[in-house]
Amino acid sequence: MRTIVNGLEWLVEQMGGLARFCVLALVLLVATNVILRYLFSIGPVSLQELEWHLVSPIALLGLSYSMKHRADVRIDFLYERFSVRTRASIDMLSSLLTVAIGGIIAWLSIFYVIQSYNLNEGSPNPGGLTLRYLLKAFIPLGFGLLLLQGVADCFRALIQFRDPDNAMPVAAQLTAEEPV
Amino acid sequence: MSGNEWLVIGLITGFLGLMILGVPVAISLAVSGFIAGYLGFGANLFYLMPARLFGVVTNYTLLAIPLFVFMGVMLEKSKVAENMLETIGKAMGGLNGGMGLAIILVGVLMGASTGIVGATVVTVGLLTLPALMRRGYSPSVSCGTICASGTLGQIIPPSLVLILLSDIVGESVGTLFAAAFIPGLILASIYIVYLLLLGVFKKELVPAIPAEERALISRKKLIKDLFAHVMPPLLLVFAVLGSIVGGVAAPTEAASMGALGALLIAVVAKGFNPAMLKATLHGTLVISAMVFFILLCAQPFSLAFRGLGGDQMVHAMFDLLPGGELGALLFLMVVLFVLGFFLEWIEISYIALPMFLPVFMNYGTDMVWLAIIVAMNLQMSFLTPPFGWALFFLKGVAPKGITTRDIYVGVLPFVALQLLALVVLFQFPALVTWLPEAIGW
Repeated sequence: MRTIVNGLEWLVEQMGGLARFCVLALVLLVATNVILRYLFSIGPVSLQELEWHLVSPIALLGLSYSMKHRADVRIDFLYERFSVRTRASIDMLSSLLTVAIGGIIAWLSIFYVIQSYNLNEGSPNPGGLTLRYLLKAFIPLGFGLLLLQGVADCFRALIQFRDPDNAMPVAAQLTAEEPV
Repeated sequence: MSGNEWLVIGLITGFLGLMILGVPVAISLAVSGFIAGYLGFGANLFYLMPARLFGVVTNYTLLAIPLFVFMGVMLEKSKVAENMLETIGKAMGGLNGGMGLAIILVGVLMGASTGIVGATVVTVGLLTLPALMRRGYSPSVSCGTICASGTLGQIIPPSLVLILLSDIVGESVGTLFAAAFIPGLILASIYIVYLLLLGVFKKELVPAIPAEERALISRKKLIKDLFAHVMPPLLLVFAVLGSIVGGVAAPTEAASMGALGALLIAVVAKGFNPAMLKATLHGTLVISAMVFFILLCAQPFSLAFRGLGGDQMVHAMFDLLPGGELGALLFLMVVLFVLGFFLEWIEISYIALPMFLPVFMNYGTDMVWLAIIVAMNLQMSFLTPPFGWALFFLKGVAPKGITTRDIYVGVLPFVALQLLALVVLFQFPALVTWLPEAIGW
């Protein structure tokens, strides 16, 4: 069971790495576009569009990544007062609901992507980016990863419920002091 | 009541119930939205969902969020913020209450760059609380100052709250930034006056750094430090804000320049290394994703809420209130203040506020003014014991010996000062509306 958790979270972490790269790319791209426009008065439509295209991987791949690192918003006012077993039960409930939500939204949005593919949808602007279905595919991908993270957390809660002394810790936040 | 009205009530209580148990807020939203919507309409209601999700992740206004977060996190992780705090603290050390002033000033700048309460309170708390204790500051005054300066980021532009609010009330980001400028400065000035008065009348609570210790730092070194550590971030924040408020650059463009500027400052200050960059990208990613997580999961919730006629229920509720527009405003303030105890600003501005907004549009309330009043109110809510967010964050990083009571007692004067500022804005709406009009937004 621990192997499965580690395997799933490895995948989430890798996709998170891609999203981290997209953050850097976004900062550099928008800055470059601004400099190009103000200094040289050039603004290619494709580069402008790429700006908001980069938000999808950040927002959607970031979902499972932030959940893995427990950086999503939770109210732990009551939670931290509960016993270890009760906490494990709540974690189990959360993870099952996460699996359900990830599954439903990924399922609904797959048709949305297929429709876009069939229409050969692209940007309505001249010189804009084509292959919009690839961009839209981040919705099922992001929520699919959320489902997998939910499965991992479900196993983690199970491990904690059975053997509270030997629980698997969740991933920590990165600090600047930590070696890469 | 009709079946749909019961479903709306079930939707809201289901969401609150799951959330209070400790289920992730975004998941609680989506689950209650899907169940109530399905019971009311069947699966058809959700066919448009993917298009709405796509709308959220391709919203050009929201593009500014990761960029501003990057700027703030970069200044924090590269220790630029830390050096700034230390230098200002030394420069003002000779004054009773001077260290407190330094915290307020850094809170304004840090808040201005990230707009995230948690990040500012945690950073400033970690950096300054031990130093303040060592210098003999009263624990409650120190805690109050840190929490208050941390929450300033809600109102001082470019805060994330204002970016989201602009999307909701349908005004440009620049208008709201300009509108928040004077109220933010008023609030910071009120805090500063309060600390200066404490320094005069209760100087044992906020002692100056002893003269012997100050003598160790030469004036020349101090001036050099001010130029090296304080000027660059200060100029950066002013340039970013100025270009947005002045209408030179769109908020997203200015945000990207701010992010690039923060990167350059970190490189020049020799705070830049691969580990720091990775940590910055990590911080930016999780904070941005946290915001988007809730925005995305709010879609099924708001589909169900609108579909089931929740809007009309809120209207009917407001019609029962006495006092017309003023009554409705006061009611809104109380509701948001209470909600602020257990919801973060993202949920309040994205879920609770849109429920009430149509009522005020009917009254013809100035949306810019309303947005600023709401932001100010939320900020007060986050500071109020026993549930304010800022207090929990500070308790998490406070050194041993600081009790919850210290924190509670310490923030009370600041809550009162905030209330004062809120009353001032209520009485003189021109303080909010003048600047955006003057520069022609």
